[in-house]
Amino acid sequence: MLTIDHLNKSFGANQVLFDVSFSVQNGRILGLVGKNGAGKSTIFHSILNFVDYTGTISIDGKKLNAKDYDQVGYLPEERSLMPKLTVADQVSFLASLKGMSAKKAKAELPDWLSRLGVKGLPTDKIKSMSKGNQQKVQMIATLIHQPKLIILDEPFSGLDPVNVDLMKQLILEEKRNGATIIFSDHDMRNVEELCDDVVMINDGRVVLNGPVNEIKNSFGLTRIFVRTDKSLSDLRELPGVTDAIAQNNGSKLLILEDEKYGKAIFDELSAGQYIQTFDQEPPTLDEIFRMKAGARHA
Amino acid sequence: MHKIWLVAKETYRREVKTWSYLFMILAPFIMVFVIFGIGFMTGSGDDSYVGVVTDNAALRQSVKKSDDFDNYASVAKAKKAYHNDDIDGYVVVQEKDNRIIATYHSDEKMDDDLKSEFLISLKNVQQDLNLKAAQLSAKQIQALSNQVDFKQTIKQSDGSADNPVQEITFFILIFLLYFLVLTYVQVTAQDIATEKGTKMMEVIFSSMPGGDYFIGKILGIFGEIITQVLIYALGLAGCYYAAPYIGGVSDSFNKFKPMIYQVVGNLLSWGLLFTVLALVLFIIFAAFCGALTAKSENANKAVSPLTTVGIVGFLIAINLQSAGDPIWAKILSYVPFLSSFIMPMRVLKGNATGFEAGISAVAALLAIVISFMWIRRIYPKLILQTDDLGPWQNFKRGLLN
Repeated sequence: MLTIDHLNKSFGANQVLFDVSFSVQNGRILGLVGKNGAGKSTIFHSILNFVDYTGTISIDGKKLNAKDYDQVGYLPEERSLMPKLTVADQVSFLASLKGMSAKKAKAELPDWLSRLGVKGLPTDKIKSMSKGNQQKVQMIATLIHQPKLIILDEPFSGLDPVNVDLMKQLILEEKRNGATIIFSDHDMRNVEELCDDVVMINDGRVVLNGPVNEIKNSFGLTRIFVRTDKSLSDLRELPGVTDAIAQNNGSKLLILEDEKYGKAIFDELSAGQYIQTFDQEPPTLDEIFRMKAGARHA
Repeated sequence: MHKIWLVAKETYRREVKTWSYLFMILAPFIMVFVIFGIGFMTGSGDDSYVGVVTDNAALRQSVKKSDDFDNYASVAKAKKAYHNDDIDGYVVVQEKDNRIIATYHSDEKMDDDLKSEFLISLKNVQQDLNLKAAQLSAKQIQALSNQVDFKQTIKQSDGSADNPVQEITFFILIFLLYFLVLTYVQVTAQDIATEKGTKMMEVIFSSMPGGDYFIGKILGIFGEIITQVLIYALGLAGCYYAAPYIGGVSDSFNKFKPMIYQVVGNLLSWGLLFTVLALVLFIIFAAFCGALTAKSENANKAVSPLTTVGIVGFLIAINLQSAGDPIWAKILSYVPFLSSFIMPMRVLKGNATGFEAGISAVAALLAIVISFMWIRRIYPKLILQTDDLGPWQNFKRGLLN
């Protein structure tokens, strides 16, 4: 289990992390979310010991030592490889720094290239590959040594939807193999889809921390998706409704003050009428993120 | 330690495989071949041979010893040789009324050097004729043969390197140090700035401490320097062992062999130690300068203070060769960076003792240890500071991390 305890970090007089504490259970995926500049990358840099900090970062109760970093796979936010090296030389060098033999890395590389659908050969130079394929090669370099802890800083940025799906499958496969994964993303749908747990950072502080479903449910079933002939203005007059928003698929989203108004609204809308859709749900992570991020700025 | 060697190996392998490194290694050899080639091409056209037709036995003997003149028994034979292009022309030397008359026959005038050489022989012959004609006594002849007695008294401690061994050693040392410092300061800064520019350092530093990576880089770059110096040393050793078997070179080689031993002996003493110290110090700081830049194209600009120090050291050393041992040279010979250019010269010229050189070397070593420990500590922070704020701001921000 990766535990971050009372992590504080300042750059000169500018404090960027305030008493950050959370943990990631072994074999689970944790999503670290927050706005740009919230401190996500600084948390990753602290875990990887790139920066000085106060607080404690430990794995299974022990402070990380040099050997532990061999078990870490890290994909940085800004992706880049040495353009003049071949794929094989680049991947085998990075793998050898993680304690894997270069020979073994080179032997396994064709299989990885095939799994990720990389167009190119191990002998191709990095600079001859497309940006997307270079990103896949970097992902291979992150995972080829079979790390126990995988840190992915915005792993889907710059990828097309097909490759995003491919990467998601890869992340889930690593989870099935027992890896602990922590990743950051701006797209909350990815976090909802992949993560067991979520930590939300705002202005260097943890504002939410826990399993995704528990967090969502803690906000109550305050979202109703309904298909009705009533206009948005009529819907806004219903008891407990704070807003009504038209959806692209023809349904309407009602935002409630409290989930307790759900039954009264259902009775009101269904009285003598057929309702095609009535679905009461918790808010999405995206909505929660907007609420939390907005709250601190209000 | 294993990872440090992996980085050193990768740094070395990546650089020595490049065309620029290969060209850098081969450039001096290419230059030597070009110079010798031009010398051979132009020299082969200058091989002038002149035929001499004379009855004077002393002159015939003198011509026989020369490489540029050949005796011919008759004008007809000389003329034939001239028409066959065996000789560039021929001189007919006659004696008339105790006077030597020499007439040169050719399409072009005689080469000035050959003319001077031949005139000396003719003057000696004319001198003999004059003495015979004057019928002088042995005492008078003795009196006329007196020569000017010119003596030189050289003050040994004037500090000037007028000994050819010293001069050769001096120039080899200065140019080797200057060449290696300027070359590898730029190679180091460029390599590090390029890596930093690719932003893959975060991945590497997630695998090993940044300070260890710094050590690996420095070791790899030293591997490149050692490779280059070894190739040159092997090339020179090859020339040394081949020279006795090359016609035209063997005589000169045997003549200069003792001097070559002395020069090599001088190089392998303080000069070598100070060269190594300077290289280590300059390369550590070149890595530091490379880490300060955010773009590889700015590497040369970032490293310009170092190259300036190298050029200043070189110019001081050149100036010192003829400037004796001024007080400023004594002081600068203890200042790290410049000491490697100045102190070996002072030792070579007998202006500094081994003890003084030792103190200077210890000062350079201390500078290396302190700067190495400091730069090793801040290196990862500088490398991970990728915003293009300029070297000074990057340095300040790197320290804050």
